[in-house]
Order: sequence, then C-alpha cells, then structure tokens
Amino acid sequence: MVINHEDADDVTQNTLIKAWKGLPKFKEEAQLYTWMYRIATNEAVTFLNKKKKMFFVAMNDVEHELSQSLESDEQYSGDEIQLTLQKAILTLPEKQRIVFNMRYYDEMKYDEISEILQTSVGALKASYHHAVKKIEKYITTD
Amino acid sequence: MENKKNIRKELENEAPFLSKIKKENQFTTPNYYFEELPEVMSSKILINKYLYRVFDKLSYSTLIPITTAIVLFFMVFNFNTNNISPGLTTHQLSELIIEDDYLNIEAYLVYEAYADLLAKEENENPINEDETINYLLENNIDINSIIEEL
Repeated sequence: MVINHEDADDVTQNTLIKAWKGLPKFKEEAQLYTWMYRIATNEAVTFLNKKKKMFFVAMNDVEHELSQSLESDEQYSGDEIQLTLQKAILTLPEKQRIVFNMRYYDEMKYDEISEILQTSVGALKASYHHAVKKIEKYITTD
Repeated sequence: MENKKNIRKELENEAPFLSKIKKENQFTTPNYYFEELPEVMSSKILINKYLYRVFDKLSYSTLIPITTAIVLFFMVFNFNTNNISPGLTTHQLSELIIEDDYLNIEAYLVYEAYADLLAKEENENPINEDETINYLLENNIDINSIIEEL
C-alpha cells in the first residue's frame, strides 16, 4: 500500500506495537490473523493520510509520488509488466486498492475481507469488479 | 464457500489479460530484515513503556497547574512590559511630526513635550527687567496704561 520499503517498515513497526498493546484486550471474537490484518490496513491508511496532510498534497499527487518512488526503490524487483500493473493499482482509490490487493494477491475470500474492512460482501464484490476493469483497461491501453 | 480456484476463475472471466500476468510479490526486504525485527521491536516497546511511565508520573495533577502558572506568568510579564511607554523628547517629537507620524502619538506626550519646551525656553530666557523697560520705552508704550490694565 505504501510502496516504499522505509515507509512499509514504519507501518509494520507501528502495527506490531499496536498489536502488542492491544493484545490484552483481544477477545478472540475474530481470528488473530484477521485482527492483525485490520490493524495493519488501518495503519497503512493512516500513514498515507498523514503523508498527504504533511505535504499539503492532493491524493492523486500522493499516488504520483508513490509511482515515482516505486521506480527508484531498491527493494522493488519486478519487470516492466509488473511495474505497469503496480502503477495501474496506484490509480485506484485507496479503499478499492486495499480490496484489490487482498483479493488478487492474497486470494482472500469476500467473507474474510468483509470482516477485516467491516464492509458488506456486496459492496466488496462491486468494488473488486470495478478495480479489475480499471486495471485491465490501464494495462491494455498502456 | 470460495476457494482459490474459484477466485482465479472469477479473474479470468472479468479480466483475461490481467489473469495471465504472473502473480508474484515483487517487493523484497533487505538482508536479515526479519531476523533483526524482533530485536528492533523489543527496544521500541521498551522506549514506549519508559516514555509512558515518565508521562504518567507527570500526570494531570502536576502538569496542568504548572502549565497554567507558566502561562499566567508570561501574560502578567507581557502586560507589565507593554504598559511602560517612554516619554518623548522635543527632538523626537519634531522628527515624528516631520515624518507625518504625529497622528500616532499619544496626546499627553505632545503636551508634556511642549511643556518641557516652554519650561526650557523660560529657563534659557529668564525675564530681564531692564530689557522689559527698554522695550516699553522704545515702542512708546505707556507704563501707566499697563498698570491700569493690571
């Protein structure tokens, strides 16, 4: 979500600290994996929003910045088609990007995604469908 | 219930080109990142705990009164400093008038400066009786008429 390794490292550490602090309150109503995934997702979104506010940039400028950062990141090892795919994903709105990543890369079920994002299965299906269409169009046009 | 086969089939139906792209994680981590992560996290958690304890000691019952006292002190200090306004000398007054800044001058400062000027002039030029008499005689001013007026 945050693309850059340094930022991902910060988000990871924040996630682990939050999970550590929240562990006594964890009631086992959900799976530990789902609970931690939710914390990680929220931390990533919070991080991106902070970045946007800190530099007074619009969201589409943040995406452009992430896209630039992707090309120069040492920890990125994808080929050209993978790079194009990542840039296509970056054009999606934040929440749609999260849904796409969870379904496409992690191959999560809609029920699991619904539990993590607290969104209905119907909304998730619609979101994923739109995301896939947009990406397909971006890749085939490019 | 969904399974991964169904998820891939769904993608093939919706985006055939996308489904052909090799699905792999292109984001790598530096060497020994995960090996070092537990140690990094332990030290961060310790620092967090320490900071939390320090802040807890300086709790609301101490911090708020101290902060309020400091704010009040600065307010009083600032008020007192602003109330002391220096007087103007005649020279400063003339400079201000020349620069058209006289509108910004407090009225009482102008009066004080003028009073000083008059007092200075009086001191510099004390009334000389002989000179007064000479003046009266040269200008044919009748001393008796002056006495009558007085």
